[in-house]
Amino acid sequence: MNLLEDERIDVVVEPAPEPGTGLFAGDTGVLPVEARRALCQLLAGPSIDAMRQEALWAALQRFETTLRSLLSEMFLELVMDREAGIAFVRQADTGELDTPVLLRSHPLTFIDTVLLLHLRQQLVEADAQGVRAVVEEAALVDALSVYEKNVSTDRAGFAKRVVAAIGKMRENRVLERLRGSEERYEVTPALKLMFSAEDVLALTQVYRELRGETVVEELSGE
Amino acid sequence: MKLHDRIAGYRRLRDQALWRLLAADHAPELVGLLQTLLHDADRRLPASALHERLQHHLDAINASDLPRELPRTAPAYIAHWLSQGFLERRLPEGASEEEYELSAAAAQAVRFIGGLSARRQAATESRLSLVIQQVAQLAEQTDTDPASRLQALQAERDRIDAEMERVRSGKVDAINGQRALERTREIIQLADELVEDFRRVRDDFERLNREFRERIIDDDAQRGELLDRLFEGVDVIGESDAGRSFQAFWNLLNNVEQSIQLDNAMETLLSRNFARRLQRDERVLLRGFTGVMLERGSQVRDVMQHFVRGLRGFVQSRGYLEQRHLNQLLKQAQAEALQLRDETAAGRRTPFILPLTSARLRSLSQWRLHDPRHARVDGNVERSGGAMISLDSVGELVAQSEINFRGLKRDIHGLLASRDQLSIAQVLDAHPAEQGLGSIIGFLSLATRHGVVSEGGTEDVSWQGGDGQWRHARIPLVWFTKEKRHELA
Repeated sequence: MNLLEDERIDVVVEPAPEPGTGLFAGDTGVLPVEARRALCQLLAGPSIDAMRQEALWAALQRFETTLRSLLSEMFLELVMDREAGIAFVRQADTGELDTPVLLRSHPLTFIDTVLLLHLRQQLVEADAQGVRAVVEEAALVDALSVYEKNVSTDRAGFAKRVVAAIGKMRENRVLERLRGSEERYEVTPALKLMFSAEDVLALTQVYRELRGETVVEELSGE
Repeated sequence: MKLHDRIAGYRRLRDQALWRLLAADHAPELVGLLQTLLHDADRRLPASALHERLQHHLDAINASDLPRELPRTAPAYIAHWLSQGFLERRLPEGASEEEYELSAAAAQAVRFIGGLSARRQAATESRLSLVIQQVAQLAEQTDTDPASRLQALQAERDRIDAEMERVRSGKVDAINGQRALERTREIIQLADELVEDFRRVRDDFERLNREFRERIIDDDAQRGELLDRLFEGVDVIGESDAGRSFQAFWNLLNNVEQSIQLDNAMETLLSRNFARRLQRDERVLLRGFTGVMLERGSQVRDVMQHFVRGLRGFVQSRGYLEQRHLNQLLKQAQAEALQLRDETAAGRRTPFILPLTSARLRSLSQWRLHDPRHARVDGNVERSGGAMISLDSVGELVAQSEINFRGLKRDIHGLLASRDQLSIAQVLDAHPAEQGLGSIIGFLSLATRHGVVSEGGTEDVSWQGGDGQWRHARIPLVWFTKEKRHELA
C-alpha cells in the first residue's frame, strides 16, 4: 500500500490470539469444537433446541458469555428461553447506530400473515393444553378458507396459495415436518418469541392501514 | 329402566368408538390388526413403525387366501381409524415423530373380543366365591354394631380354630387342581383388566389437565375458585377422584412388604403342580406381574406428575395472563384480516416483515467455475433392462388381479425336490409364465411369505405376453429354499 509521507495511521497492534486448540491447519480459534458448532448453528439458524440438540445446548450454556460476546461483534443478540429449551439469534437493537444486517427477513403477503396468525393461535391453544402444536396441511387450507374472497371463483387457486404459504413457513423453519406422517408439521415453539404480542399488534396496525389505503384508492378512483 | 330409554341409551353407545369398531364391516380384520399392532407386544408405536408394520400386514392379508381384501393403503386406514376414535396420536416431548396407541375404547373392544374366544365358563365356582367373600367382607366392614361385629369375629375365630385342629390331626384339604387352575385364571383375568384400567386413568388425567387449563384461560372475569386453589399450592389433579384412587393404588404397589408378599405368593403358586397346566403366557404374566404393574403404573404416574408440574408452572409464571392477552390480540388481528379479505388479494404483499433467525453467508470463496462439460447431455441411449417391480407394490398388484397361486406353488414345490434353492428367474426357466405378469406378481407375493429376500439384490426376468411379445422387468432377488418346501405343498 502506498502512503503519502505525511499521512500517519495510528496502528493499534492487535494482541496475538492465545494459542488455540488447533482443530485444523491455520486454526486461531480458542473455543472447543462443540461451542463453535453451537455458534454456527445459531448463525445458520433457525434455533438450538435443548431436547433435540443436547450437546449443542450444553455447549451453549457453558460458553454463553463468550458466545454472546462473539455474536455482539456481529450486532446480533442471543435469545435464550431456558424453560422452553430454545435459543436463537436476532438483530440487536442498535438504536441510532447504522449497522449491517446479517439475518434474513421475509416480506409477507396477506395470506402469509393470516397463516402466521393462525399458527400463533395454534401455539397458544397447544400451550393451554400442555401439548406440542401439530398442524396438518389440509386442515390449514380449511382453516384459512375464511379469508378467501366472498365472491371467489377460484377455490383451487386459493388452496394453492395457502400451500405455497405453508411451503414458505417450512422453508423458514416455522413449520417442521414430522417424520412418518404425510403433511403433518410441528409449529416451532420459537415462534412464540419470533412473533410476540407486540408483533401481533403491529400486524393489526398494518391491516388497519391497508384497509384505509384501499378505501382511499377507491375514493380517488371514482 | 324403561325399554325405550334403554334402547335410546344403546343407540348412543352404538355411535361411540367401541361399538362402532365391533360393528365395522371389517371388524374381524380390524380388531385382529389393532390387537397385533398395538395390544399384544407394543402398546405404543412411532408413526413410521406403525405405517410400515400395518402395510406389511395388509400386504400379507391381501396376498393370503383370506376371503377379505383390504384395498386401502396403511396411511389411509390409519387416518380413518384416527377419525373413528380407534387410535390416538400424540407428539411426545422431545420426539421428532408422533406416537400412536389404541384408544381406551378400542382397547376395551379388543379385550372384549379376546374374552369371547377364550374358553371360560361364565359363572365359575371361584368367581362366585369371590363375590361371596367380597359381600361378606363389605357387610362386616360396614357393621357399626359392636355386638354383632364381635359375634362375627368370634365365628371367624371358631372357624380358624376348627381348621387348625383338622390340620393338626393330619387332614389338609387343599383345593384340587381343576379348581385351582380356574381360580388362577380368574386372578389373571383380573390382573389383565387392572392393567387396562391404567389406560383409562391416564385419559382421565389428560382430560382434567385440558379442562383446568382451558378454565384458567377462559375464566376472564375474576380469579376463579380454581385459580385460588392452585395459588394455594393445591394439587388439583392429584386431588381429583381419578388422582386419589390412582395414588392409593400406587402406594399399595410400592409398599415393600406388600409387594414382597405378593411376589412370594406368586412364586409359590407357580411351583404348585397344577400351575404346569397354565399356558406359557399366563405363567409369564403371573411371574412378571409386579414388574408390569410398576411399569405401566409409573408411566401413568409420570404423566400425572408432568401435568401437575406443568399446571403449577403455568399458574405461577402467570403464563395464563399473557395467554389471555395474546388470545385477544390474535382474535383482533384475525378480525381485521377478515375485513380485508374482499379487498386484498391473497398474494398481495404487506409491509409486514417476519424477521428470521438464520443468516445467509455469501462469500466469494463459494463461487465455483462453471464447467460446460457437466452440462453436456449424454446422447447415448441405453437399452432398458425392464421396469422395476418393488416388493412394496406387490400387495396392491395382487389385490387387483386374479392369480392362480396353486399352480405357481406346485411349480416351485416340484422344482425344489431336486434343488436347494431357486430364484424366480430360475423358476421361469423351467416353467414359462403362463399367467404373464400375473405369474411374476404371484411368485413375488409367494416369496414375501415363503422365500428369503436378498438384501438389495435384483434380477431380470422375461416372459411372453398373450400377444406373443416378450416383456422384461427387474425384480428384487428372492430365494425359495428347500427348508421351506413343505410350506408350498
